[in-house]
Amino acid sequence: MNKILSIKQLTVEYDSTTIISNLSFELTKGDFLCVVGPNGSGKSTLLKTILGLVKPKSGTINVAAKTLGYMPQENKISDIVPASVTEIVETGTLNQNLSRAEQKKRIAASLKTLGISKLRQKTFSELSGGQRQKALLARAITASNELLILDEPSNNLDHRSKLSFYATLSRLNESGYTIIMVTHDLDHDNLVGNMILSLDPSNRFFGATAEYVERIHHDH
Amino acid sequence: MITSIIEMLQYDFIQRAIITGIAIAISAALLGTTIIPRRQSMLGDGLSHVAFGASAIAISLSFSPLYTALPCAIAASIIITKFANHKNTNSESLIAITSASALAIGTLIISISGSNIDLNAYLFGSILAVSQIDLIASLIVALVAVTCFIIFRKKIFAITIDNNFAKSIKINTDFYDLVISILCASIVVIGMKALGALLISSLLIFPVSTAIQFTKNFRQTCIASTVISCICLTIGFTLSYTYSTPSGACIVLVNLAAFILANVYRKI
Repeated sequence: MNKILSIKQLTVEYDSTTIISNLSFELTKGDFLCVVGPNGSGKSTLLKTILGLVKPKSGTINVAAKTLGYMPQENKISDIVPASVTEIVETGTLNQNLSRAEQKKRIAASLKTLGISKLRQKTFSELSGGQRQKALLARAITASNELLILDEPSNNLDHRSKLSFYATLSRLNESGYTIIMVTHDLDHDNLVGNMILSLDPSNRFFGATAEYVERIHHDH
Repeated sequence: MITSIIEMLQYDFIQRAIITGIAIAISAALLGTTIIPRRQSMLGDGLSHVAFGASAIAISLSFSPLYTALPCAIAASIIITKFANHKNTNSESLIAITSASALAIGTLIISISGSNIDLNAYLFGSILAVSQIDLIASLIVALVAVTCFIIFRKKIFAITIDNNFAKSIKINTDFYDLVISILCASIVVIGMKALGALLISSLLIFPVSTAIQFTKNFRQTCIASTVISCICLTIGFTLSYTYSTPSGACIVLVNLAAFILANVYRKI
């Protein structure tokens, strides 16, 4: 099995409050993990800890991927100064030692994959919610061709845009990406991914999506 | 206007002031493109008050104001930027507290020491006060700022719009924050003599605020802000010379006019 992420006995504290306690799980290449749980259960903190933005109190995190593609919540992007879609996606190519030609090729490929090539010169603030999410996802896939880490990417999207966005994620997953996604949408109609991690303190779970659904049905 | 410019350029002190002013205008406009999106518009204001307080202490102790104000402002800038990145800190309140405290300390020291320094010149600026050292310092700062923006513009942009993403792709955000903090403090301290402690921060804010009314991307914003800043500074200096009015006030009002015009243009 090709392990891409291994977390062992992870504990994260913030201002002396334990956010994540003794968490362990592993992902293999090609997994699509949905991280669920109530507000304050540590979903975003887990992502930030994997990204190295938050230091854990104890435990280990081993990431086998060479690069990570992070997609924050859409409202975390500063749009006071205008930025074009190309400029935003281009930041995903930084620190990869790519030539200018390779950068351009990578940007064009990411925009094409997400069907937003026509928007490349548009200003980010002019885009609709769904288009913004695609631009940020394009930046993430430009930054990594292995592991995507997405923080509530379907926030502020209507039902139709959500379904379209999830279909895009499923396609990326089928093309080889491992995906970790924090989501509030555990609607059975639009379940995505093969694995679920529930950080609900009263109902912690890590396993296959089908098993989780069965467990929820059984509990009800 | 052109006759006035030609006439005033015959004086050495005006040449010095204009070159210093343009160097500061270019650096400030570039730095403004990263400060404003990070909601640190008032950083320049806070730093100018720190520089004012430090200058007051330096003068009362017969030290060089520039060499005292510069390290103090750099230290304040680094501390504010460091705390601003902390989740539990309200950067606007921190800047306001620093700003008011430094201004109060400066005013009190001048009052107690009985120093006969021209408070107006420090608060509102005087083109006569720009020295050869200021000219050299401003050119060095401008050279560093322009070089940073040419070489690191994309990384500065990445940090500006999304600091966490920049960290996730291993951009050394602390290093760029440090460079930006040092440049901001240097601009404020060097530009304070010509524009005054109360008005220097406007050079960080106005040109970018004007440019974003019609620009479509970050690159355009950097270029347009720099051009607008230089034009407004030249017109402001010329008006100041022609009508014998404070240079800082004239430059700020020309910037205000440009900002209003850009807003009107955007609405049309």
